[in-house]
Amino acid sequence: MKKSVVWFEESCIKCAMCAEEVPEVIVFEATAGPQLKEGVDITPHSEKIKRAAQFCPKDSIKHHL
Amino acid sequence: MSIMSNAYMKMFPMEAEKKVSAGKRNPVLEVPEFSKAWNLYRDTSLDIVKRYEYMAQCVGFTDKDTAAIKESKDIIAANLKAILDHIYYDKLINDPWLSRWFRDDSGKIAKEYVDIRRARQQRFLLKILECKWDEEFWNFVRWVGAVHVPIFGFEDLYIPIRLNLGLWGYIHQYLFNLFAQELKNDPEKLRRITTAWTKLFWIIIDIYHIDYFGIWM
Repeated sequence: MKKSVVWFEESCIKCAMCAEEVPEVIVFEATAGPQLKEGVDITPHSEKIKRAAQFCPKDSIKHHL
Repeated sequence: MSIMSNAYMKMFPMEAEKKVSAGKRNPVLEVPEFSKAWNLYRDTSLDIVKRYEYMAQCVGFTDKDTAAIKESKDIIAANLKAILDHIYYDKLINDPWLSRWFRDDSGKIAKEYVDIRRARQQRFLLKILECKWDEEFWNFVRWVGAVHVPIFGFEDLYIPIRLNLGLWGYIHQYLFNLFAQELKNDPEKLRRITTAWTKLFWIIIDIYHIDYFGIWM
């Protein structure tokens, strides 16, 4: 079974929109930028994550979902 | 009567009029127009979808208009970068009032911050183009407006309503010039699309500003 993975690339400009789109999975920290919440199963939120990736202005959200 | 109370009565002559004494039944609740207006206000202020439906009815925004917005997707998608560049890099950061929100402590335009605001506007436009007029979308529109009201968010982000209208005016102006250019050989399509966008802009501006006004407005 394929494991779901999400990560952020360095091109991120810290606009925080991804954390607004998927607050269940992504938390925004002012200095570190977007982070995945620990211990959260991302699979149920895969559609919202894909949508957040579409809105990302720098195409910084990468995933295998 | 003191000088001050005299002046007050002149300023607010209604205050000087004879009052109906308290304790009498107030007939306002029996007035059907009042009940209708109150129910409409109550519904549209609590239920964002009802607010949209009411506004859509007011401006005549129908499924045909949604279809026309979808028709304009290709034009906007092909020009999205140019639209945003124009709004942010030509207009906003050069506007004597609006540019104040895009400057750093030294007074220079904060390029990175402008890019972030531009990205947010891009998301807004993309969400509009999805044409899903559901609770999630209208709550998003309302939320974007609300974060610019100081009591909900950051005072630094407070944008006076006249400047919001300035921004929407820039978007409106650029989009319509773009449509006119792209559809110069198809006046019927141009009419359809500009009519639909005009109606949609009014609905968006209404919902965007819900939290700017006192509840009685």
